Amino acid sequence: MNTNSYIINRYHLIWMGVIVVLAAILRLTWLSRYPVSLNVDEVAIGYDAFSILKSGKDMHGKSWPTVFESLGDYKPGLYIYLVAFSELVFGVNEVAVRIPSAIAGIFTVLVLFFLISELTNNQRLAVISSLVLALSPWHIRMSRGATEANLALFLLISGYWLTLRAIRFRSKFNFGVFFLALSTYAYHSEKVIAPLLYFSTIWIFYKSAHKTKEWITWTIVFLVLLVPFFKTLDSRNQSRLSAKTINKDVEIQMVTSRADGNKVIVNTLLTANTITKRYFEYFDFGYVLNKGLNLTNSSNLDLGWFYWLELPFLLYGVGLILKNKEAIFIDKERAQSALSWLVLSPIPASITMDSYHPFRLLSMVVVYVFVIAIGIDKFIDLAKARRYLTFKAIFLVYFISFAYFVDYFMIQYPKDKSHWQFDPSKEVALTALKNQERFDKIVIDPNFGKTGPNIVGVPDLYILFYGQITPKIFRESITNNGFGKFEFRKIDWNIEQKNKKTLLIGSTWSLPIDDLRDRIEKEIKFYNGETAYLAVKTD
Amino acid sequence: MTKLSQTLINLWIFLLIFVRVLLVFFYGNDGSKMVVDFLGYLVLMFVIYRSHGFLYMLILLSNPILLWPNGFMPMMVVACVHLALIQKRIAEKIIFIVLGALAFLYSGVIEISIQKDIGIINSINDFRGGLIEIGQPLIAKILHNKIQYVPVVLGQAISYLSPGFLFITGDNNVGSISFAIPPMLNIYLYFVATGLLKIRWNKYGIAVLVYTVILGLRRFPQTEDGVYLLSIPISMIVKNTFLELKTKQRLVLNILIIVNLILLTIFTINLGQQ
Repeated sequence: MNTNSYIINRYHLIWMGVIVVLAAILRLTWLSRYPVSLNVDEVAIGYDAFSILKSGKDMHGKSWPTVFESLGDYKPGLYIYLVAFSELVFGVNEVAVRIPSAIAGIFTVLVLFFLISELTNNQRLAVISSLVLALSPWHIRMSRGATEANLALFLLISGYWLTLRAIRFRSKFNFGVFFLALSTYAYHSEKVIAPLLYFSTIWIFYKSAHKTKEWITWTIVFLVLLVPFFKTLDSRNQSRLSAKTINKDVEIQMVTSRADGNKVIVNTLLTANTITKRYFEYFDFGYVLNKGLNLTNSSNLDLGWFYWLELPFLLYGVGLILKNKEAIFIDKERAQSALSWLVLSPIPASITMDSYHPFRLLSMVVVYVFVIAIGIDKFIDLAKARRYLTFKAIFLVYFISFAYFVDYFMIQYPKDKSHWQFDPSKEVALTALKNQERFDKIVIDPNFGKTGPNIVGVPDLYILFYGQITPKIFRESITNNGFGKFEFRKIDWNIEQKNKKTLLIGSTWSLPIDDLRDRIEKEIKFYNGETAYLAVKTD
Repeated sequence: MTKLSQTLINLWIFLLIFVRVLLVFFYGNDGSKMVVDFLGYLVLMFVIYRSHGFLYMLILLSNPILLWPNGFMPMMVVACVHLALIQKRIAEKIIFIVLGALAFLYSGVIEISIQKDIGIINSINDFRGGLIEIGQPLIAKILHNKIQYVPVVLGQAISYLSPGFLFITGDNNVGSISFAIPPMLNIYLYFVATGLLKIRWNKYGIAVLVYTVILGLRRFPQTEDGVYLLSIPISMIVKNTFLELKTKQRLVLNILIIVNLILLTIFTINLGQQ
């Protein structure tokens, strides 16, 4: 490869500047308002970060953990430490929780340019790839929430690019292994993908003419950097690992228990069958294009991981790769290595529970973006004399697609998911905090739902986060059902009404609105305008 | 092939399809005749493609498609279209197109009914409502209208082409974890991938795309229709790729296909006994 390719053409440099600014606008504007409220995981991250900041311990009292117990889901630590830093800068609020992901998203757009240049030596293709990623609905959606997977993707791409660069220059030090190792501390999927990607890349290049001894040093450094990760595989984290792996799937367990014959063999066969099914689900374009983002409750109309109007470019790109991949990549090794990314990406999502998990599969966004960009790049070449018209057509395609994304993301998504993802727990917390001086006791019923009280929220966590209650005060004031004046339990109005100076906050399932009109302190609504909670005072 | 033998073959094909269409017209689409129909179809294809007829039969027969119910009529539609394309005389082309159209009309399973889906209409109205509430009725009309049927149709259509559906899971695509029966033999994934790699799939590839769009136009897409519509052109792609392999490779794969065929037969017998 010509090393001059790293002298970026001024024209491409200007384009990259514009794209990065565009990516920043799309990821940072109204960051606290869209998505409309922090979800349970985001609040847990925010409070764990606050707890670390104040005491050096997580909310469960563990000092400087690598993996946070959080809500029992054992979150990887890196993102939480970054949030702790951003809370130091921006305060304890929505922006502080989300901004590390947004910034990681912006840098991913930039690093993708270098990665595609490294793979193809085609800077125009690299610029187009970055533009497609900057406008990608999947990536914007992930960048605007506190998504650990998004941070991990940035680290993975950076690590992969730097490793390819180190191979090209036969460098003694490969900074890529730091990023790859770091990605395993950012999200669980990367614990599988990063080592596989690193070793497959090394293997592909080692068996070719690029034989280099330096990779031994890199690998040792990589493994040393993973030591703390292996140490975290204690019994508690293993329980998360085994709880999430597919062989513990309830259905598989059920069928196995009912099966005649050797249950181990039945379980193994069923598990293998399910893994294969899950793996291929991620190549079902019908789902990927129509329902991948899961922004609405509609069974038919939703948005996919990329825009429908990008499909012709995607198919064209696939055709070009199948026909002549040598013309796209610099050499066979880089083509094989890029292909290994495609093959490896769905593995973590396939071996764990839950179908179509967009977080676990986020690393695949890069593959889709790259193939779409190849289609666009060659389409522009085809146009030749009518290039200006082609640009206008592509602009129109993205304008229409983006209009739909804005509508779905900002209007339909909060309304459709208001009973579940965007329940008004923040307002519940603020109401409770505001009234704590007026009442002796504040009881909050965490059960709510549209068709019945079948969803259990975590109002305690929202109060801790928005009230900025320090871990010390929290631990000192813990009671049987809550902490301080706050109690979190089921409300039975017939019993509670006998209590004096108590504020009850619950859904209309536990507090009948028609009987309590004169006692209502505040009516808290869902985003779609329906009544969610009532704050009711006793005598 | 002499003129007389060609005419006889065509007459025989006309008769076979015509009688079958009449039977469907009078007695409905009875799935119990499926295996007989399928074997009739195999013989038909064997006669048409005499040079590679045995190979084609083997490929089609070794597909788990035999285990899928109620698919003869969609398959006949595809066969008629295919036969119309390969005829030289216009009169015969027209006859096959008419027969194909009859098969299409009376298949009872291939119908354009997506416009009746109340769920889509409700969603469109709901989305419009969201925009009207924030004072954007014009944008509501521009974004949410009948054009939203296009992604639904295409999404349904493309799902039939997912390798998971065709070669791995079949109708057990999502959710259920029981053992699945794919429409096409797993090993054919290799052939189709190789065929695509060499881009030697022109008319069959186009046929696959056209059939999938037809499938997407259904309100409740039925997987078995997809299986029968797609199995023929996909088998042709497999056959064409197969012919390009070296003799030794072909021998190995022949053995593999026959082993699969035996396993499939045992599986079918077991399934029948249950």
